[in-house]
Amino acid sequence: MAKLSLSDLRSIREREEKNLKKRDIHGRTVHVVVAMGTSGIDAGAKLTLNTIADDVEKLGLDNVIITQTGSAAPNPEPVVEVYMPKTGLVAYGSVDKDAAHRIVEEHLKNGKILEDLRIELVEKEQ
Amino acid sequence: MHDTAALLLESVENSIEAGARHINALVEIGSGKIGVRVEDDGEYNLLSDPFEDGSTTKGEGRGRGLHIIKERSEGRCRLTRGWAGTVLEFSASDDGSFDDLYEALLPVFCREESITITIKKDGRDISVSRKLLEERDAVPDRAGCIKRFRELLSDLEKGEIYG
Repeated sequence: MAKLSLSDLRSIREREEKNLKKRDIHGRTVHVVVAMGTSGIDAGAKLTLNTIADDVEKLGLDNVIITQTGSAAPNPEPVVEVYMPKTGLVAYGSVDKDAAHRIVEEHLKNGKILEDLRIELVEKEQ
Repeated sequence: MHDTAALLLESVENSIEAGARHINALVEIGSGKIGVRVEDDGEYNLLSDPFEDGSTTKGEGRGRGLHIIKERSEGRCRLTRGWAGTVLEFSASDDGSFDDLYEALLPVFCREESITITIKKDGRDISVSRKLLEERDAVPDRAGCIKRFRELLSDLEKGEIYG
């Protein structure tokens, strides 16, 4: 699978939002996507992804599936997107380890959107 | 900042971006260095110097991955194409980023592509593949499987899993 552009990501987001209304993703109702392109990795996305995975495991959030996508530049990386039927799609920027802990504890576990971390995704000008 | 484990992740990303369906990586750790060799069946449109900053066929703002690998490896890197596919090789200082295989490999396997990674470390070969993870229900993308992924790597490091 090729690395996705932001426009690809948006298409997927629209598709996933429709799909979420129809069915779960592999039986999971919450979908976490971490942008792992070069700029994301450079900004620490590896630690972000590992932290989310650790916390999802520790809390036993078995309705969550974690995947990754390519670069989310020029957005403030690491970027994490959360799809949840209750909250819809929410994108978070500059997700360091502490922010990753909060996303799992507050959004994934309790369904509360973290407004201070939330971003509107911006597409890179071509 | 990319640690050496992140360079492996970057290499896998590069393969996937090239449309690779199968990716095999060998990581050799010893004598203070980490050598990485990544083979894939991707379709590359190689430019004169694919390690040049911004060298890409994917559009503006892309193409930093191989350049970062060149920088971190202090030029000890090469990309070659042959009948069997494309091979990316580089070496870098052992920064300890492969000491915890769980942390190093989880981001690589938290995806759907057919990836096999062999780690040569402390006189032992540790081979992890997407196929093995599926067989063991240990693809680390959900609760339960993440725990099994950690346990599987631990068992592999101890040599407690064969075949």
